[in-house]
Amino acid sequence: MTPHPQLPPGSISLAPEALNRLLPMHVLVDGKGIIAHAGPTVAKIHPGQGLIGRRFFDVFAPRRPRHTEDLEEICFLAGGKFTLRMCDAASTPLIATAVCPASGAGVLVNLSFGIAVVEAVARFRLAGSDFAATDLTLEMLYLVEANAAAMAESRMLNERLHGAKIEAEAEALSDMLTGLQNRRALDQMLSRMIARGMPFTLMHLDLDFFKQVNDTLGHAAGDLVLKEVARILLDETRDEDVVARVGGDEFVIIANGLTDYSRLRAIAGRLIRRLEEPVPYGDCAARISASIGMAVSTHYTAVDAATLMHDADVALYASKARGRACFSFHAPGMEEPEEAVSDVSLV
Amino acid sequence: MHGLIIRSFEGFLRNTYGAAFWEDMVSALDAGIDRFEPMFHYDDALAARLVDVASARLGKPADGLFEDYGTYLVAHPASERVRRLLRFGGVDYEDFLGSLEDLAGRARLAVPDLDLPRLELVDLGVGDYRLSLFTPLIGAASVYLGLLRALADDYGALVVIEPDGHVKGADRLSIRLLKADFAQGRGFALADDGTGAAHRGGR
Repeated sequence: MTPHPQLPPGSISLAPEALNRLLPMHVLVDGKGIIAHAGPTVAKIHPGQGLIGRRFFDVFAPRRPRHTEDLEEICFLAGGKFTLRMCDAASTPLIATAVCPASGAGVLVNLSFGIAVVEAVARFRLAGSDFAATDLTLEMLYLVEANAAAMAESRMLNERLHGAKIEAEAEALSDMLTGLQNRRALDQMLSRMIARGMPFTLMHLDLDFFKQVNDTLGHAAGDLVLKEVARILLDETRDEDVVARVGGDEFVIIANGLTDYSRLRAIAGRLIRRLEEPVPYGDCAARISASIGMAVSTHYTAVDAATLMHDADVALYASKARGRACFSFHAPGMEEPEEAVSDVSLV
Repeated sequence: MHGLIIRSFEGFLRNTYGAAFWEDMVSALDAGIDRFEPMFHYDDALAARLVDVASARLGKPADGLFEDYGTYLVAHPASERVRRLLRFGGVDYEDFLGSLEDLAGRARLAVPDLDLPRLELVDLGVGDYRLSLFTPLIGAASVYLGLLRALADDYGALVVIEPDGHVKGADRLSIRLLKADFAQGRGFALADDGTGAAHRGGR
């Protein structure tokens, strides 16, 4: 540590052991470009034969700048910074800084893994003691690992939430577009009412001319009509009734406690009249109607949901056959449709 | 309370006392929660109730439960990530003790809203240390007691750690490092080889 008489004030000389501790990845290169000394971590990562006595650029291939292999010149370019690849199987990328020591010929090169440090640590099985105590590599590795852990937790949370969403959708009881109950909800409600022996009437309602609305005015108009239909159905029924959308333009109403024909006729008639009111859409008006088939639970000695649904369907078919825009009650001996009622074949 | 803490405590109960015990806890808590989410925050009162209920069901004092939890954080395979992150603190146990005051800062680097106890370590010489914990978290001193003992084993150091009272708002632990290289220890490679317990158990 004694200053050389000719050196500028503040200059110091360091023994190799001191350099090793401060810069474990340094290389001392003599005036002929030959490696004179290498820090312990460089020696550890370099494969095969020793480094001492070999040409620096035979061991480390220049990446930038490419045009020169003169280390002394590099010292004065861009702050002495240059990049290299070690001539090993993995072509390990390295960042380097070169300085010309004040005390004489040759160049001191300090190396670093840069951003490739994570792979390098794994490849060369480096330990904390391979880095200078002031080096932030350990802190960086810690952060990389902590970040991976936090990301993993966050990903698992997202996966769980996604799963929960799918599950919730599958278990949903309401129709997304209209907010009415859906088929699942209807089935649950129907079995509950049958189990409790509650009297009711099942009204199967199918829109007429809805396909034309979709075809001529577009699906947005169709959706608007469906929402309007839902509003009217809720409006014309009581809180204790169930209103469900069970298909594209098919609805089912459970009229709770209602089995009286005259009252049911009044309701069905009013429903059809209101559904026939034109729905304004831009400059146009969407016009539809509805056919209704009804099955009354008290007409059966042993009620079951499938039979009721089927009979309401048969009655609906009868309404369609009578020219649509009307309602029918299921009656024994009513003509069965050849195939299940389908809006495609009838509308 | 940060979800990471309460979730890892849940993991401790599940992995130590079994899934059935946890189910039992869930119904006893009756909080509409069957698992804690690490990235959420929970009411401190709920966390306290979780400890009370577990302590009552196991017939084990809360302090003992906290200490076992601290041990679990280092020693159980399901908590390998925590062990690794702790081991980044130092190359040997003494070095690790020296980094204890940075522990809360390190945790915040990883999870910015995670508040761990502020620690103060006084080196009393010849291997004696006094650790003070400043935190409103109940049981923190017992958790650190278990954690520091388990880490001593992990490093292979022979250490005696005892509670050392409560002074000026801080819980204190006395640490006596008898021999830094007493046993083999579990080893620690900077690069996780991917076979770590990060994927094993615990979920």
